[in-house]
Amino acid sequence: MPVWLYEAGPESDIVVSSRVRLARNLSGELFPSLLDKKGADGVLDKVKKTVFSKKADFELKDFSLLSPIEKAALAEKRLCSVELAESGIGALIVSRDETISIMVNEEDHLRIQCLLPGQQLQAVLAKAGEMDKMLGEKLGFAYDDRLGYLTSCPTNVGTGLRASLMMHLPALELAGQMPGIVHTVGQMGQTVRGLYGEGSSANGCLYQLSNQVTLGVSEEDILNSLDATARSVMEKERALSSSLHRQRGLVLEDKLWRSLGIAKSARVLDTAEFMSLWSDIKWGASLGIFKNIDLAVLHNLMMEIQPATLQLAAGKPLEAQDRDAYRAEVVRRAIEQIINK
Amino acid sequence: MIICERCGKNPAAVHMTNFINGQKTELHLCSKCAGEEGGLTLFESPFIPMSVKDLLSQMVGEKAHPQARCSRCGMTLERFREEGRLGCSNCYKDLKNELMPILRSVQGKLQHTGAQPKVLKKAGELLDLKKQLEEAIQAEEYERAAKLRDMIRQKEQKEESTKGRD
Repeated sequence: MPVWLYEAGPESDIVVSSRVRLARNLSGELFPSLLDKKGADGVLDKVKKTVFSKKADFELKDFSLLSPIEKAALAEKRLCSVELAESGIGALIVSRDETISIMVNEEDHLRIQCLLPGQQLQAVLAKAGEMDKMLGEKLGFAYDDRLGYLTSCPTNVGTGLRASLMMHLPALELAGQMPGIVHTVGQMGQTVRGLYGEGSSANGCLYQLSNQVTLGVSEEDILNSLDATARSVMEKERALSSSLHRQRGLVLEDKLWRSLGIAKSARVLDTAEFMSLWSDIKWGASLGIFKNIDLAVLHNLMMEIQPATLQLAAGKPLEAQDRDAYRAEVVRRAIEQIINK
Repeated sequence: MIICERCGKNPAAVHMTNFINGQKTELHLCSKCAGEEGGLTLFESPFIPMSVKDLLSQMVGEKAHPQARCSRCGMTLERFREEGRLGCSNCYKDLKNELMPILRSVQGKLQHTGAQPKVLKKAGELLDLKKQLEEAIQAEEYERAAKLRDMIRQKEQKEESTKGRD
């Protein structure tokens, strides 16, 4: 069972998820952009043999056997990129609990990813690192004493590590402070990006904080400095949020309650409107305005209402209009489940 | 500023690159239209490096040689700037002069200090060389093959002599 369904993780009032990705290439093989189907299958065979000889709880997703909706749903769950699913040479190996996924023949031969709920950067690195070690010992990765792990794009060379936190920052966004934070974080070799565009309510106030530099810093330093940045951003968000609540309590509570009301009653919801409602409900839960909200259910809901995942659940393709209606239904059910708990 | 390709009104907030049957398409949408575009999800953008290609095409090293080419996979500086991807690990050696300035500006420091693959590092290098040797022989590049063979011998001897020390 995906861990998302029952766990929200540490610092989950703000941090929705932690993720790391290690980029690796098999030494002696051309990088995927130059591989033909045969060469790519050769790489995949080696990886499959290694993984499945040691791990029973992993499965291969064969893109050639999946429908476009099933492929898109994997991307929506963040298990793989859309590019991989459409590339024709890519494959995906996923753990049954969906915390570890290995993209094979994407930009690099291997993209070992681990995703966990809440702030668990150390844990995600440890899990991905274990997989990296197992694969590396068997397969032999392209590595250079000076440049570290060699990757298809020089922006990933060295550790090959991209670590990120998905953060919910409604107070900072409402107060117009995100551009300043984006600027400051940029000076630390890190980036903050709106997950769904910036400065519009449709983004769900979700931001991705990640490291930019991969060479000349150790894995530990990358995580420590991300963690430090995250802590200071969280502190600001919490302080601003409670000060807004103190000063403009009625106005804020009215806004959040209305959003909960709409989510409970709407018969048609597009993604953008849902995201702004979702953000308000999450904010209300963090402030303690809504009691007993199960954050795991709320966080998971964000994935369930994505277009492809929604259609998979419906068991049939849905046009945009029907999707919006079905989305509203899924949201109403989830909200009822959350509230009646 | 890029305007949304769908409605033609709002500024584009989401930039997607899709590969369909090997054909690359780019789509720039505002967040409203992006939500309506079926295949697009909230989660696509974060890990696509922001216009790395554009960035790379602006950077050229002083020592860069326009004719530089990777002896193994044939990658050229021109092609790399166009696609933003290298062809093999040997590109880092043969296109060193061209890549170093890029690495310096993207990464800052140029010495890896992170984890190292423990067990098979040396064996991996050897495997790499042997594979290259095979390729060179197949391509009838005997001069390169001879060089590679010498390098392999050297490494194997070195490994023999250090055995038992650790």
